[in-house]
Amino acid sequence: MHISDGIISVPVCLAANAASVLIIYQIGKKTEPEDIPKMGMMGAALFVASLVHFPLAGASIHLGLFGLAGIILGKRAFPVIFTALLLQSLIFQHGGLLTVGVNSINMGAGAFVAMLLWRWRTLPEYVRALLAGFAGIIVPVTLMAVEFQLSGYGRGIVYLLSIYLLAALVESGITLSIVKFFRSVKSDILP
Amino acid sequence: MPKYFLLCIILIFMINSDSSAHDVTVEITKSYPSVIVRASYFQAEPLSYAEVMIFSPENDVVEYQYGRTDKSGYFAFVPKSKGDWKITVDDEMGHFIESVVTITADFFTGEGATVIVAHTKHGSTIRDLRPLYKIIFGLALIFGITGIFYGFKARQMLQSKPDKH
Repeated sequence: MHISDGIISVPVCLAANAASVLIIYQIGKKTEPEDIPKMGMMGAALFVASLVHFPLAGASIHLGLFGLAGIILGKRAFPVIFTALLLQSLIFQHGGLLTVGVNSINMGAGAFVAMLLWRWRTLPEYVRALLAGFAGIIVPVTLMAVEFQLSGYGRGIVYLLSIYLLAALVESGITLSIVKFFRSVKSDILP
Repeated sequence: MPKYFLLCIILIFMINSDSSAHDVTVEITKSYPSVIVRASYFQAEPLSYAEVMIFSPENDVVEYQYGRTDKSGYFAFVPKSKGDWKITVDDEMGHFIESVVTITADFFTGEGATVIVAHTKHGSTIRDLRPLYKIIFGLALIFGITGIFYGFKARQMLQSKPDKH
């Protein structure tokens, strides 16, 4: 899910980085001090979760927890995702450095959609958790597939989506488990 | 604002550049029946009690021998076959070096002079760290950034509040 350098054109990457910095600045201004420890903990969870890889249908996939980030942090998930991706790129060379902005926007969009789904109060909580977890993966992958297509790397997109469809199902189950856990031990963490 | 920008730039360069000024050198002495390895930092300071793994030419997955250097940075092993023997030395503090010594048929006859092979690795970067250390490093940075951000916001909040005294 992490796009490497050299796939997306440099002007697009630079524009995405600039947009990311602007979004972070805007969100940072509105962040209250009491939200920051939660952001730090979620950042640590995102950073580590992406490093746990498991093989699936000949590919290697990993957890994202972007849906969970969207549930817990809402819009504030974006700076957290950006920081986690930047450090993954610098320390593990997991994803490109120039494409951090593009990757953050892709995955931040997943968290944003998850936040919207979570706030859909007419649905039961477990359904919202499942949908948020699912969207947290499938939205970034769809955006990534579109970007690959536009960059001339269209082959294998269907395969990519089918692989990540399974990953999104796994992720939605994990998100539901975590939400249920938080609901039972620390309910106030969930908005 | 410029000081925070500067802080970010320093952070990025710190991660990408050499995280340590230490070069690491291994000197390999072939002297039948053993091969003696000496590992040292820059200016000959020994890598004392560093983890050493020896891999035979036949198996580069499971180590042939495992141990630690002595106080002076020495480690010895007895190769049983011809070929390239891989030697890794890791002080578990971010300094890691891998070297290969080629054992030929001459070695087993005990003929020929002792050969010294030196291999130096200049500096070590964050990329050379083991995955676990990288994870710890990354988590430490995340919590550090959280703390800085928290301090910044708390100061902003205090400044915006009117002084009660």
